Amino acid sequence: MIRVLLFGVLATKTGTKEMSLEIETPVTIEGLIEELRKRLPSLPEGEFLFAINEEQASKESIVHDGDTVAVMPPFSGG
Amino acid sequence: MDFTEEQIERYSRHIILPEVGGRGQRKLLDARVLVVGAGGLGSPALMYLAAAGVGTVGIADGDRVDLSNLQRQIIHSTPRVGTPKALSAKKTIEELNPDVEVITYNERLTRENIREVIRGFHIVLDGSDNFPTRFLVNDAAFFEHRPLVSGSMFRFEGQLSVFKPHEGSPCYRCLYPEPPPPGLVPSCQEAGVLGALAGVIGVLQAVETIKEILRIGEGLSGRLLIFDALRMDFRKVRVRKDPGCRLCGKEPSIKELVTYEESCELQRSSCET
Repeated sequence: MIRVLLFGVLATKTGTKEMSLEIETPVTIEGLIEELRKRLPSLPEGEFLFAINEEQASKESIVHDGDTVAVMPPFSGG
Repeated sequence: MDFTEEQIERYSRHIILPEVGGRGQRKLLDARVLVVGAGGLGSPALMYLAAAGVGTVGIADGDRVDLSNLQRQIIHSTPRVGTPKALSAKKTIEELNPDVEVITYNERLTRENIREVIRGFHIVLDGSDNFPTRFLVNDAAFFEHRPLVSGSMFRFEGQLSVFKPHEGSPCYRCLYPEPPPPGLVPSCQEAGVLGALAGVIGVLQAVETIKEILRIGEGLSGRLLIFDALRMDFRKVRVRKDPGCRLCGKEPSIKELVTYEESCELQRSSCET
């Protein structure tokens, strides 16, 4: 199981801040986002910052069972 | 250290701290900080920097105080509606602490003027309200080798980090290489923002700036702080320099300042920095 955390506009557009994903692991971040989009079709497209267990990750990074993945868009407000 | 008696009294609660002391207070009085945007984040940041006795503060903001700003932009006040924000902020600071010299830039920072402005300061604090300015400030701070204390917000959430790519830590582009496509990330006007959230993030920016001046503690460089006010949840994500970063990476393709278009005009007048 992978715990996914969504921030900012990703959370508001999908109505989801946090979800558990039961998918086959290991999986890349890119693969995980594809799976996530199947469950949350309103997930916006774009370039986001990813973190696995609070460490910055790239689209190619590998996610393992039990990991927490955060997906963060930039904010512009000041 | 050459303090007046009034200064010794005014800064006594700082001077008594071993981590600050007379020497640290002197560093604060000698410091020059540029605050980009006298809005939600800039307001509380400026007030604490001024109260701390940061000797020279630059305020860059080309907007005027609007009634809708006052829900969070606490450096301004009702009688100041319609006056330029940089001047309104200057007035508040002068009343708070006459030790502080305030330099106002009552204009929008551009590719043409920003590097020269930044060069006159030691540290840059970004509280701007739009992506073109955020990228411009990041790039200019990188080219001028100035630490950038960056804060931003959306509804009930905030992000905060310190970028020092010239010292080996990431820059803003290592996290977010390019501005998002127009319309993806709504502005404060479009999405709303909790007023007090601006206080949380703006004050944390002041804290990081003061630590940077004093060189104490562990700064947020290399870490991104994410705050969710609804959950009262602070998270820190370790972020790293991207060797492929177009600005600060090994083979940079950005060698001079670039201008991004405002994604929509609404956004500009929105959160009003």
